[in-house]
Amino acid sequence: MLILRDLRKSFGNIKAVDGVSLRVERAEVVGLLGPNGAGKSTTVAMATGLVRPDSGTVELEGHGDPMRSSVRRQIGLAPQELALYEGLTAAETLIFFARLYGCAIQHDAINRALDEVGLAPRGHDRVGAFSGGMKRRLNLAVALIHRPRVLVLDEPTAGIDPQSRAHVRGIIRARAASGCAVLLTTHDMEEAEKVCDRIAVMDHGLICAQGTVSQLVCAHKAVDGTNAKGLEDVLLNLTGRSLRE
Amino acid sequence: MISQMLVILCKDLRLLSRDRGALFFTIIFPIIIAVLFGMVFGGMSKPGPLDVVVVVAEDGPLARAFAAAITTDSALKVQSALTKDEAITIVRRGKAAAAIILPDGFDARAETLFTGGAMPVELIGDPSRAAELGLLEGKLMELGFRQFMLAVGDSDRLGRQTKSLTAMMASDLGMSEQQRAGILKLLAGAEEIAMARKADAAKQGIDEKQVDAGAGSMSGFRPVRIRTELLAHNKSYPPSTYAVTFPQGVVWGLAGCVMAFVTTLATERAQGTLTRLRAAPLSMHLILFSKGLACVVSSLVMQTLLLVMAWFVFGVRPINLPMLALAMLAISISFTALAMMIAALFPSGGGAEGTGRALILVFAIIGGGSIPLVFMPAALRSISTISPFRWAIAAIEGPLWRGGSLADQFSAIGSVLIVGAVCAVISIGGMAKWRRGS
Repeated sequence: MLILRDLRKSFGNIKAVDGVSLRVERAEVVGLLGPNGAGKSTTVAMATGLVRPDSGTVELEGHGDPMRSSVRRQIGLAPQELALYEGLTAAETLIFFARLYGCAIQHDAINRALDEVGLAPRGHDRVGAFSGGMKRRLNLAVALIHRPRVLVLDEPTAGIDPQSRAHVRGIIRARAASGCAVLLTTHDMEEAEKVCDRIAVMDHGLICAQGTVSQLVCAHKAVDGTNAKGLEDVLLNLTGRSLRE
Repeated sequence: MISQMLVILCKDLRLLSRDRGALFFTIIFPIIIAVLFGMVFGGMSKPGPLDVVVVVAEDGPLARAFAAAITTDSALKVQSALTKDEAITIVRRGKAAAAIILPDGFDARAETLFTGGAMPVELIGDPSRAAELGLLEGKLMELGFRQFMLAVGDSDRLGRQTKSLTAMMASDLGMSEQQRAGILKLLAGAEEIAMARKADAAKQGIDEKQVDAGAGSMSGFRPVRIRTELLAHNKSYPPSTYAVTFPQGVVWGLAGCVMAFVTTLATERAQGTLTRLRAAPLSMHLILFSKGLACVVSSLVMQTLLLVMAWFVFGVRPINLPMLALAMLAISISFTALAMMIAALFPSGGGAEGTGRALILVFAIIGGGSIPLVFMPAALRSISTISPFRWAIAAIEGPLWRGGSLADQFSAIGSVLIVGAVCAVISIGGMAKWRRGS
């Protein structure tokens, strides 16, 4: 569904992404893992049409390049920042973004969207009064409000409590089950293992390895002969243990 | 596309209406400024040289002498004009506080000083400088007395005046013969005195004008008859000081609008909502245009509210409402471009809040937002040409109360639009970076 082919992007002398190819199928959740500065956010920005690649292509199968605004209508993005207007209520926020995407506004749909993220009782409260977890859930609801075919989530559970995290994971799986292609970035290995069908590990602008969690763990054991017990060991062995800037 | 634009516009206006700080600086603060300055400048006077323009309508020695006395007075800074219309244009453009017109027949009337006449002077003043006109009237009266004393000391003139009075007395039938004979005897004596003084002065080589120029005061006598008129479109409507300070209120409202817009744009960048807008099926141009439209609308709303308040509370009536509306629209567009420029030059939240606010504040102050331009030193007045606020004030004043030709008013509006175009060009470079996503 979402196809990235040999994407490259530099900012000045820094090569942020240096030849990334990735495919996310319908009803599939693909996790993009890697240390800070690996190039995940730039890849996400190119995948959603926010940044034009220096070379390579992004294609939403059957629709074209997301640099075209009509194609972006098919994509839902939850940025890493809590990209919300604190002066609006939760319901107003959803109505605003739904209208931007050209959706007809029905109050039932807004209520259902609020209910899906557990915010129905607080729909008429201003976002500024919300907790971090509530804002994170509303951030996700905004990405979902126009029923996109592709969902791109940049660290959707960063900084929230276990209850909210579990709720968000449930929503992601449910959307994938309904046929949505999901690309998510995370630093949470448990989340990647629980939510993702496939994992791509990035470092220095490249994808070092990709596959299911079990494939990655097995492949890594076979190649290195190390005692990799899980995804975190695979990631650390692939990207090194030295601290990143 | 238009519906998306309206969605963003409504969202921005809703956010503005819920931001009490921005609302205060956009609506309430300008009203306070306009009212406060209206009260302050209603009774303000200004020491120091006063800019005036002098016109001698009919050439004559007395008119020339009076004009020369005005020109050489250290309390006045004088420029000349050939016609009354030319002088009025200079005042209307704010280049002088008043026009002093020495009308046709000045010399003839000045010759009647001894028979109850007075030197006629027309004073056409800038209504925004009404307080200074009182000082100017006093100054003209003082100069008139000096001219009168010179006339008394001038034997030729004294002789002419006496002869004229004698002829007048001879023809007055309402006077008894005894009274007339007594007065004619007195006048004959005065004529003899004048001739004797002239002969003495010639013998001693003294300039007799110097002898009498400093003579004592003459209580109750007014050698100059001043007809003062405030330069307004409608003579029956001298604008209140609130009409004069209304543009200042607008300046502060514009500053509030610009800052609110710059801050929301910087906040959108910092909080990631701009990223979210860009991820929506909208072009960056459309996003910026929509946000700019919100700034234009909020600025227009602010100006309209101020105008409504000036109209209904302070009785201010614009002399050319359509032109004022055009000026308000031009100002709103240009100041949106200014806001775009600041947002482009200082994209971070801190930069927009700090440097942007400081820049706006300086522009507003030197542009006449706190101290009217007429009260500023000449050097600062020259510097003020770089401030968009100065041009905004000029564009509003014309159709609000100052009047002037349509060409003048269009020229002021054109200046505002040129400032806006410059800001727009500067902002394009900065905004291009945003579009590239760097």
